[in-house]
Amino acid sequence: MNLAEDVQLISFGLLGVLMIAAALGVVLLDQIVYSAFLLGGVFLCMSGLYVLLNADFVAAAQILVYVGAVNVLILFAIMLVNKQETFKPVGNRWLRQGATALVCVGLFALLSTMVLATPWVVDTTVVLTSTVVQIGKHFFSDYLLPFELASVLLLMAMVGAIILARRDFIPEKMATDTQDALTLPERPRELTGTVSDR
Amino acid sequence: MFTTQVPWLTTLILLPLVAAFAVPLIPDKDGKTLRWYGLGVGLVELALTVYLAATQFDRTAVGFQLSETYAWLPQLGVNWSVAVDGISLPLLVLTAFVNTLALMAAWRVSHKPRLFYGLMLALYGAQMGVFVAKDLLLFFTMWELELVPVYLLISIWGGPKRLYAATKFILYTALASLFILVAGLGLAFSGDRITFDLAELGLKEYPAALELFAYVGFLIAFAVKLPMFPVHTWLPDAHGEASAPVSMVLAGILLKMGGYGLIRMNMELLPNAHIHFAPVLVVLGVVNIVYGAFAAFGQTNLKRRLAYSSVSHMGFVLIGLASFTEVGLNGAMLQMLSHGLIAAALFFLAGAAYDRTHTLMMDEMSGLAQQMPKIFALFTVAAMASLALPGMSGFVSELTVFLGMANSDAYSLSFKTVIVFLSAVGLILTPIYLLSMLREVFYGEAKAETTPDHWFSDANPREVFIAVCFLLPIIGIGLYPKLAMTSYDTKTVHIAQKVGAALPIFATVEPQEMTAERDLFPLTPALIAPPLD
Amino acid sequence: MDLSNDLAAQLNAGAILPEGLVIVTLMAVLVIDLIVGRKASSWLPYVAIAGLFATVAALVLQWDNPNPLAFFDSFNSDDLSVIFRGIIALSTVITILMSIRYIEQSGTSLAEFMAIMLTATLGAMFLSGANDLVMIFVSLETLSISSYLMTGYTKRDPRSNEAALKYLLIGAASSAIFLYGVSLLYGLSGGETNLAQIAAQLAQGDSDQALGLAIALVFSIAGIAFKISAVPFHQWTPDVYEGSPTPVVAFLSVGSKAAGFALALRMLLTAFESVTVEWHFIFTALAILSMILGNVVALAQTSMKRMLAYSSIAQAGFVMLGMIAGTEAGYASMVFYLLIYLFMNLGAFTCVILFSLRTGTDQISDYAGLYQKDALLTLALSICLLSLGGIPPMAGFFGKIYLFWAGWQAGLYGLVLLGLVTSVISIYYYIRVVKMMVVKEPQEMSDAVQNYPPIRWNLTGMRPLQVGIVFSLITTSLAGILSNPLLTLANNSITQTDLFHVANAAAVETVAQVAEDADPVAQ
Repeated sequence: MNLAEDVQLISFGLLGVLMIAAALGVVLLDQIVYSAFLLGGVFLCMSGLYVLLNADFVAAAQILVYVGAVNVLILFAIMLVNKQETFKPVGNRWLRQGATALVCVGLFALLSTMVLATPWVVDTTVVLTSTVVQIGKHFFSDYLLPFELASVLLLMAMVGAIILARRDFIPEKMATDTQDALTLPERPRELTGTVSDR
Repeated sequence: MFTTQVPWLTTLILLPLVAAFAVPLIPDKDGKTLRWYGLGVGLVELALTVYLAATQFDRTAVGFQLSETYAWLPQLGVNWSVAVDGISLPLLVLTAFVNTLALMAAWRVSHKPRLFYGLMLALYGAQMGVFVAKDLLLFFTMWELELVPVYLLISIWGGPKRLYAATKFILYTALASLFILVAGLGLAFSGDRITFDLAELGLKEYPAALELFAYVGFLIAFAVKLPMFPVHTWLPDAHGEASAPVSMVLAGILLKMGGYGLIRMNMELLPNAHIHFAPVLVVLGVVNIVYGAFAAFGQTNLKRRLAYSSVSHMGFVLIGLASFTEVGLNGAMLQMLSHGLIAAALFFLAGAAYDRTHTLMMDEMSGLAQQMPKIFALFTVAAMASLALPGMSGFVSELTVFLGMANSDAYSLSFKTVIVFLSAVGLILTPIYLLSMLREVFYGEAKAETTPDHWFSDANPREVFIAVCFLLPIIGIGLYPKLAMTSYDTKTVHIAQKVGAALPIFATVEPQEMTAERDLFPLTPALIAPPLD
Repeated sequence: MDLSNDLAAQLNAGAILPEGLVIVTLMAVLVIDLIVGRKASSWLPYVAIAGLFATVAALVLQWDNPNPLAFFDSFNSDDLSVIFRGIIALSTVITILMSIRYIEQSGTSLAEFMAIMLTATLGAMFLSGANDLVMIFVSLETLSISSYLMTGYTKRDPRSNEAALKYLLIGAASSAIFLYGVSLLYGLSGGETNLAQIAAQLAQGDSDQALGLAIALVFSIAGIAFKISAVPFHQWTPDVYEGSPTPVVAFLSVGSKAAGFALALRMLLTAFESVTVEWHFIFTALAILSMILGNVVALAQTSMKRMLAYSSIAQAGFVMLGMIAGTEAGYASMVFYLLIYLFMNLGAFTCVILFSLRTGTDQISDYAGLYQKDALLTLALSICLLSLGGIPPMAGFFGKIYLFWAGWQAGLYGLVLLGLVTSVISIYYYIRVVKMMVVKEPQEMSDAVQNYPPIRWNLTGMRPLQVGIVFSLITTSLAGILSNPLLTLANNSITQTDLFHVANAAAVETVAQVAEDADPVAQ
């Protein structure tokens, strides 16, 4: 038992250090491709943490969804967009960064105080069956309704994705004034107003 | 209730409102049907009101009569509850009278007539509603209902600065009328029973602080409407810019809503707080009289001068209300009625003159007397009434107010002397500005450019009829004031007693404090009311 | 777990019959569009509307359901949820009426638009009755994701794209914050997701949990405030309102907002019952900020849609007043105001759509002199705007009176005063539009109005638009004077809902009951 706990502790430490380092890399590195790959690293470490928490299904889903889909998508997007643009340095950059850091550190301090101060109810029951089975049982009993609703949500997300991606069919009677079709019936207004009325 | 009697008052409110909504449906090919329609509705309403006042109303009774109560929003404790008593009935008749004549005065409106008549009728209904509402929230609803029609009436058919005037009017009035709601909610929720019924509210006992708070709330709302110095500034703009029929209604009725509110809410519901504030009302009333007179003197615009004369005259109402005597209160009521008639007549005649000369600047008008003698004569009579010539209603009412004030035992002698003296100064100023107005407009050499080819036509029979309709009751009341007084006498006596009854309790509580105050404020020994709690 | 033969009875599936009807309608719309194609577009909207009316009918049957909990307590079909679902379904009906012509004119496909709209409705309706954290989140996301899709529906228009992107980014961030708060709630209650059980567990918890609970509260409120666009979580509102297709804006301002309020009521009154003082405090701050900022910034707007955006922020502030009151009258006044707000706000949007369809602009200055050209539109828009401003005898006046009445009853004197003062400010900007339309002389007419096309109601999709306008016009003018049935409805929805009777004692009582049938999996 002792050995197992030690192994768990060491793995946790390792994963934690790796994850923080990778996350810092995502934020700090200049090359966006490196950031994207490091983001994959963060996701992988996170799924490792799930394994340590006995959540094997979530760990697998994390890898499949985030590393396999989201991260790959990000990489595709980066590689397809081949645009070199030099950004103008923002004035008083240190001030912005300082303020951001202050807020983030403050939030972190608050949340960690909360985590430490709260007596969490820890579930000590040992799960013997597979978590997949557990989740499945939940899906078909007390979480049946959200599960079914999620199917509608997915259907609509799919329809929406197709709508956004497809080439639009413009009916004939609209073809005469094509530039008006597929835009809002309201004319765009002059930009002078947009700033003043914030 | 519904089964036993005809719902007279509900009919009175709903008839013009329904007629207003029916305006879009009236066929109006030749542009003449609508004005007959408007006038017809007005006449039916007037006839109903007069019938009601003559046959159904019991002058000897003190309380509410002809009351009708239907559950409206029971969840909020709001009822459709209407009734009249001695102080609302004369004003109701005045409303019907002035509005009907205003509809007749609007004969020539050719610009968007449909909208005009719709709004005038809606305004008509809302005013009737204010005077007959027995439920505080119904009163507030009717009070607010009148806002938008007046706003549009000023801003569409007004003078050159109409938009400014209309916006000023609606912001002043809307902001002030919030306080009716606030004070009303405060009173309604006080005690163990939530009610908005005015009769029930009058029976409740309120904590002193709440009573003062509610009094201030009502006072702000009604002072703006009355108008009381220093919240009167919307009035010259609104009255000056509005077209003649709208000015007639504004000056004739809308100002009276403020005075009516002061009697109905401040005095009847909150007599104890009234004692604290009465000296303030008196002082502000005097300021109104004197300031209004001086300001009127400084105006070059005919309508603005008349508007400031309204400010001046409404000061008498304030003094009368705060006099703590039956006579003073009677005078205030009579002043409201008399001013309603006189101001409406003056604004109507000013409008008639404007229709011909197309200017309101008095220095541009001069010498109209030769060209329109009828208007000149009528105008002179109305102006005489306004400057309180004996034999006219203005004289009787202002005299009554003075008598009431002078006989009041609530104020010290020196205070009364100062007040009466200062008001007398205002009274002297009135003829000066009114007569100078007559001189500038009607006497003197006619302006060169107007004489040869623009010979102005004199008043037509319709206009003469309207003006005479106003002048007859003015003279009638002036010669025989009981004509008007009998209708509200019982009620004002009752109110004066109620307010007066609260007086000695306060006067005897802490005489020492009083003397201390007297040293501090030599001018206001009248502040007999002790400090709070 | 023993699955009995009568599965439906066990799940109490009848409780979600209205939502089932929405799903059926949504499927029907999609499939018919797939099979019949564009030929169906002339009658497909009526299928959707018929489906929604069937939904409302089903909701009427749900009224006073003796057994409201369904699907192992994850959905609650009590009267509160019924009335909110009714508001949402009705708002969708009117939105569809106004969107037919609009979508037609923008050249996009109507069927998919309606399908997404119905999904958003479905999410909003489920959200109104969601009684379980997982259910809340899934329905919230259903609503949000469909809203993002609708916002960007006219994808060739950069403004629509910008709106969608802004909405998506801010929405996703606020969802994440909400989820964080909710997960804290899950942890603090010892692994419960049902709201009632969370409340029971939290009531037993010790004071060490205070900080965690406070953070959970703040984070959850941040998510909710985003949905109801309360200041300071409102930044997305003006830009999204301006750039999105107007029917979408109409739905966001009514349906989506109503769902947000339903969620706020249910979540704060059950799960966060132990911190009532704190959430009252937070909502007071939100209400004050919303009323002041919404009304003051609306004064400066030149675009009608932006003006309505800020006005909807301000209106949310007024509605919050009823929530802070915390009395039955307060909640009833909220429901009543939302009911009325449904008609007047959708009426205003319908008019704005009609105007922009005919002239192609939504600048306030372009409304000048409209009275001469189109009296019906002027009348309807004036009535709806005056009603929003709270002018009698329109419905909005009575809604506001009830809110202030309830607030005063609860002793919120300062807030009521602020509400009154800001509502006077609001009169100014509403009446400015009315002034534009009615007061301006023919020679001051704007170019847009001068080139106003002849009024033709026989074009495709115009007739429903007209029906929508006339319907909201009549309701807005009469619902106030004859508001007694609506008031009774609103009051009953509150008094007959257990939610508002769940006091601390009752919460403790349920713990024992809950413990027995707690985990269906374990049985």
